[in-house]
Amino acid sequence: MVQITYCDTDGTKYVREIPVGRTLMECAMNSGVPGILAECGGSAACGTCKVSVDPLWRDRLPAPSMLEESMLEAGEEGVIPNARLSCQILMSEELDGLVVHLPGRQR
Amino acid sequence: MQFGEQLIASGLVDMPKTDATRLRPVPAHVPPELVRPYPYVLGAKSKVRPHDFIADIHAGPAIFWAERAHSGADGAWIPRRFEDMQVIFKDIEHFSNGSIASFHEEKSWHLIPGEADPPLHALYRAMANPEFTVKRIVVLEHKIRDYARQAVAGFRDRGRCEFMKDFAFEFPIKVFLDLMGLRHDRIEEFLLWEHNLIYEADRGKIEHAVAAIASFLREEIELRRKNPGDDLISYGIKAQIDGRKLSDNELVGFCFNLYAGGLDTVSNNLGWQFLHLAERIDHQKMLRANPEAIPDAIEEMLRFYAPVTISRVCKKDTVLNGVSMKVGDRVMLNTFLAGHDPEIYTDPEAMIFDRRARHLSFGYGPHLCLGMHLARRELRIALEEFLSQVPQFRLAAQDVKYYLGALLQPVEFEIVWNS
Repeated sequence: MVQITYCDTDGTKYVREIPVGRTLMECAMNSGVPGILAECGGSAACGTCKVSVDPLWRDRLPAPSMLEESMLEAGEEGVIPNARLSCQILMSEELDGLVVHLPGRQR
Repeated sequence: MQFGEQLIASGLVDMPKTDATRLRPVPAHVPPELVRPYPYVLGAKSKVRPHDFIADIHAGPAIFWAERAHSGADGAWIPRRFEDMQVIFKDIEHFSNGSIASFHEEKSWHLIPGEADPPLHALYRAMANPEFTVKRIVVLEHKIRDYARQAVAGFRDRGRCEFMKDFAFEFPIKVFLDLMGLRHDRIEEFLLWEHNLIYEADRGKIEHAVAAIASFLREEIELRRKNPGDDLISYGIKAQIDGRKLSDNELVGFCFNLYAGGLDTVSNNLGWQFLHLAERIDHQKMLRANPEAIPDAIEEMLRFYAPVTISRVCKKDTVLNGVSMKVGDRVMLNTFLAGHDPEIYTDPEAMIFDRRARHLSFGYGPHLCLGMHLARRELRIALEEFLSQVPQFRLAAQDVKYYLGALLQPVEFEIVWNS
């Protein structure tokens, strides 16, 4: 298990334990973290599971695939810094302690 | 007697005539008890709503075989449950998108990205995605709003309109033509092709429409090669996948996919949503008084009136929910049935605007609707503009008929108001 912190726009922190091999999106959906819609169910096709990765962690994540990259453009609310699709971030031991920020609105 | 036979016998559903030589026998691996009647057949026109068949279908087996379910002639598996549809939408190992378009069988090109499988599919999606993000759609908002206003202005003072023709088709096609950089002077022809492509069971008409659209798109692609613009055809010409440009056939497939995917689906949803509001004055009043409730209401109406059925072809034998599917079997994913699955939704036949429930109306998995954000924006703007400019409207007559094929749609209906 690795520990992840999801920070909501109102300051609430959701601290969760995720089994290695699951995605950030799945954990949020299964454990009551709000604000992740994941309309396509984890196929990098909807762009509604975006998170902003904490700057300290940005370079420690594997780079996004070309498909993920094509979905990262900001939504209506403007630029999401260090945006990633949470469905494409697979948990590994190296990511223990990862901190991500929820964008407030997904579409 | 089951609902299908009963309703057909009663004359309430007008099933298309099908050439008996085209009908294929039920495959040997399909258990006879799983062959069930199914009303959502290309070319079928009904005097009763598509909703009237739901209770019977959801009381039956989780997955059944329906003759004529695909393009009015071929049999297919119908999974009726939301969760089974989710599994199939995501299972790209066993189910292919190749030849999902029911409108033609032999062709030199395929819908892109709609009919692509891995690994090409991700390349096509990565190419197309940036043009369909919320950010890109927001730029179009003022234009979309202008077209909605223009369409309303065309009939507002008359105190009535035939909603499908005067608004549901009139408005989204202009947005589409602009996106593609196409002139507006052939709208009538475009709409006729579109109708013949999707609602008619007549193979001749379908093939003629496909040929006409493809040849029109080829001409436009040639023109855009010489004179590129800020439109999706020019975007496709410039785009690179895997370090190469798209071939001519790929470009036709890309443009055709935008045509087939972007027009009717918005029109169908508009039709259902406005028909609903014309009949449910209480709901209309509620949205007029609370325009901020419109986005949630649209999601609930997308669930309740999900018009799209999309197909897959089994490419590797598999067993789902105890049912054996073989290579070559077609599966129809009827998102309307998913939206009314009693195991997922409490009181699925109630319209509850603030339900905020998930739905499969834009699909699921890697092929989720590329134009989802654009569609939502068009639907929202249409409601906002119509409700702010037209006073309370109601249905002029109750004799509405419905297309029951792979796209559910009220055929036509008049609405009236005090002008």
